[in-house]
Amino acid sequence: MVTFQDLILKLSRYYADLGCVIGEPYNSEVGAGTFNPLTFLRALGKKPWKAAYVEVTRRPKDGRYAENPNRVQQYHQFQVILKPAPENPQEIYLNSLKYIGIDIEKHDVRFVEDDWESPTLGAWGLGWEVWLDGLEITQFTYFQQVGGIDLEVIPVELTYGLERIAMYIQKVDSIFDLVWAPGITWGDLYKRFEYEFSVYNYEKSDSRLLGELFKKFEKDAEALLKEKLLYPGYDLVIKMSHIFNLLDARGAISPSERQAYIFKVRKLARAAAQIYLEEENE
Amino acid sequence: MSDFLLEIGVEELPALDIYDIAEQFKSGFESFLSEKRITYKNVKVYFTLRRIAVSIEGISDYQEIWETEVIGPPVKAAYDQNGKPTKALIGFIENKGLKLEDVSVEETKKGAYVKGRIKEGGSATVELLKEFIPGFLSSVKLSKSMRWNGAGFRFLRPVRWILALFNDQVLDFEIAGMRASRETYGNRLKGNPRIRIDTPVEYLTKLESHFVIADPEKRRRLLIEKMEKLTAERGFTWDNDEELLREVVNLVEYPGVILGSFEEKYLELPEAVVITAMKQHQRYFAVKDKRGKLVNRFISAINNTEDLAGLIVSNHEKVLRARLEDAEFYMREDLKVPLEDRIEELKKIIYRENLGTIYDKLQRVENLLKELVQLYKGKIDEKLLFEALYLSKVDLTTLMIKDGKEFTKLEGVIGMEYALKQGKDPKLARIIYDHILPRFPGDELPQTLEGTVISIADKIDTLVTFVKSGAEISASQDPFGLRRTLYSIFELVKEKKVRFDFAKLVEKASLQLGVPSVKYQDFLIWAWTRLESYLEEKEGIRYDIVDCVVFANKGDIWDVIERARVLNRYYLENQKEFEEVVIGQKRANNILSGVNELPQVDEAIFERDEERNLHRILKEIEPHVKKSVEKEKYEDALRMLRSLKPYIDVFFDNVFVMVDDEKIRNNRLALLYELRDCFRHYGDFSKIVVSSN
Repeated sequence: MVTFQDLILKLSRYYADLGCVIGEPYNSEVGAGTFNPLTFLRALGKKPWKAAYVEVTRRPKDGRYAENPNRVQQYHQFQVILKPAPENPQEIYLNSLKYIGIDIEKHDVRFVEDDWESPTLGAWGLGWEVWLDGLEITQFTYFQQVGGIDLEVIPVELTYGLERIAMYIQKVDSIFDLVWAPGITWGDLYKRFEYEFSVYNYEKSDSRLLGELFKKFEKDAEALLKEKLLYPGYDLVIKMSHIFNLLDARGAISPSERQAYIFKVRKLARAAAQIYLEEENE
Repeated sequence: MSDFLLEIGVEELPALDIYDIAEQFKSGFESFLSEKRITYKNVKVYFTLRRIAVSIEGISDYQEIWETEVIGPPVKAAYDQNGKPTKALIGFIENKGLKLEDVSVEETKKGAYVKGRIKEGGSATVELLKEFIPGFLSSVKLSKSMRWNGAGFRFLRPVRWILALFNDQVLDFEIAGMRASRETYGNRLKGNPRIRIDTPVEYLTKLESHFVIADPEKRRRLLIEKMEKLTAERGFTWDNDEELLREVVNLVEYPGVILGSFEEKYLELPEAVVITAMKQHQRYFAVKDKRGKLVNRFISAINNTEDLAGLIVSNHEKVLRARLEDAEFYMREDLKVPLEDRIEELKKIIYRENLGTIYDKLQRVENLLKELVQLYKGKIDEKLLFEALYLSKVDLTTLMIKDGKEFTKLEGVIGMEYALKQGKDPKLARIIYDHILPRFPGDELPQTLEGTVISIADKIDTLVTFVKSGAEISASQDPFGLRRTLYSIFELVKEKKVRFDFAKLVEKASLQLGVPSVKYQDFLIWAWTRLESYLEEKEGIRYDIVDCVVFANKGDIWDVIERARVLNRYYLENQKEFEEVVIGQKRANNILSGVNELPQVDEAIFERDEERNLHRILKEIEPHVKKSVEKEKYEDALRMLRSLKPYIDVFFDNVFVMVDDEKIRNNRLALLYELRDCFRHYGDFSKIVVSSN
């Protein structure tokens, strides 16, 4: 039995052996591993960079009160960033599947066109979602722009959906039944968490408070970035993005306001990216 | 005679883009060959999502040799007094690679010049190909492009290898930091083996032995055969969806096929929902029984040979089950709320910025419909119509549509299906669906008259909202789908013979949205010119004929279409005579241009019989033309206009209009005015383009 933690350990081992820095998740809520400075900032500029880490990912809108076996509002990504993109990233990726015990020759593995974009991060790239027997298990992207800046050196980003892969390997039909460690399931760790956060995201979050926080963080982030305090400034940008997601899940954002919120986050993310780049080029 | 093969190895390309790229490869190489005068037997293109190949059979080793004449300096400047070649001549000769004895003298209009003949061509094909290929590859037009390394080369996805062979020789060149070689790769899932190709001839067979069918036609054939066999064995058929097939052919290098199933309970979902769950994201084909009814099976192509362990099928089934489960959950939750209770929610959904809510839109549409139903008294069930109108968009508030993923495109369908499930009048349900039709060119049309008029009113409101927000209208771009929406209105009018005053309805829609008159007038002008392109596209009616009849339009689109149809037929039958009539109208129009006030025609001032006769016949015929047009007897109207022709001809042959005497001149101008007016009951014939003149 490959447990959930085995899966993480194996992928970490695999990428450590390839020379990656094994990082840690960012300690504030993020919607994707891309937000982590280990990817967002390090993708910029010319310096080579290889990192891999688990990202604990929040998607408030995906919460289902722990009732849906496939959807949760917090899940785990295994994020890999290789910069510059090697000449054989697909091979590296497929070998990682073999390494964690998936015999690809007996399956239907496909790279299906899926161009990735993060409007809040001003980032986009071309690539695929990788299908394993029809199930999307990984997002595979050659970044072209980050923080609205054309990249000088093209990185490739691999984002493994750990729960999906684990469900596949362990042959279980529900996220909650995944074996995390011997004797401990995913549900043991997170079932109540899922339920309570669904209640919070959909029913209890205070939209007024969140709206105010968004504005205050925005002002503060602006000021910090103006003083070139990159990391605290960017940290607030990350918080703004999560608040936006919470407001969105609560249904507190009309379609017309939506664009304005996204624009505000993007503008500051871009400012952070520029500071990082200026300093790197010095 | 030789063979050439080029294969560009790539990371997986988007399935549908490949067709266009392959087409560019074919035409690019063909024009290269003809431009360089290299003979060949045929050019073929092969492709999968991992490779695009060009194979040229029977290509000659050298390009042809041909002679061209080059003109040098004038003789005067070419030789000095002693008849010796000057610097100018020597420069010319050296430049062109000629010898002194090769040149001769050519007498031209501008004097005598030195000329020579030079030989061109004869280069080795291999060299020309090496020069051509890199430039060609960077010129391929792509929907999107990317960088992946420092070489600066852009393509749709990274290029990973280049195979280039001329017979058994590798063509030595480099692109994107890669040298061409004789190596390619086999199916990724079968070990991605490196394969050595010795000569172009063995390309297809060697790849096939490594589970790559590079010939798209063959791959498609195999895929269809397998799907047919697998379904026929069980007495089923697969749903032959060409759009999906085109894509699936390019999703796999080797077409393995699996037949999966799902729990029968999901068949209680609307058929469109089940098909969408299969097709939209998973690219599965639906399976039907002999009577064409959906069964609980699906077909998927897999990028592998066989599913020996049965693992692949059960995994695909799991994925589909999760999607169907989502749909079932949505439907179960959605049906708990009666559709009419959802109307209130429409007041909270913003239609577009500054354009109010969806509910506001429905109210505007209702006002337009009040106008339209007047025209269909007794034919339309008004109560049902307005009931359906307010239910037509409630599906926007359902989980199924709000899902934001594959089911979102089932707008209208969900409204209809839920209405049926909640026991509503089937006609009402159908009106809900009808109201969004047609969604795209060639789409299904409404079945009910009620649905048809709601669709028209809704679309007119949509168009006018864009006029209000100042959307740019241009011929080439249609970012907001304005042209498509307008074409849908034309389609409904044409096919359903819906008759109403389009201009008046646009005016009404504009007034209630506060759109200023200049803006919607401009929009109307644009709309009528779109009708010209629409009819040319759909009915093969010349745009200038539509232009002619649009002049006399009464706002009724159907009437313009009918008038244009009749005139177009008439034109095709009597082209020569018709053109003479048009020329007459053009002359009248030219003479009258800039003329403003004219007196009534005074018979006493006529000098010639041709004037008198034309006037008499006009007086006699004009009321009949007018009446025929009013009664929409367009054939009759044209016949009568045609009978004027001899009178017009002799008039123009014998009467000079612009005489000095002002009285006579004005009287003749007034007569021409009458003549033009008579024609203008039908249209402005001077708008028609005459080929010979």
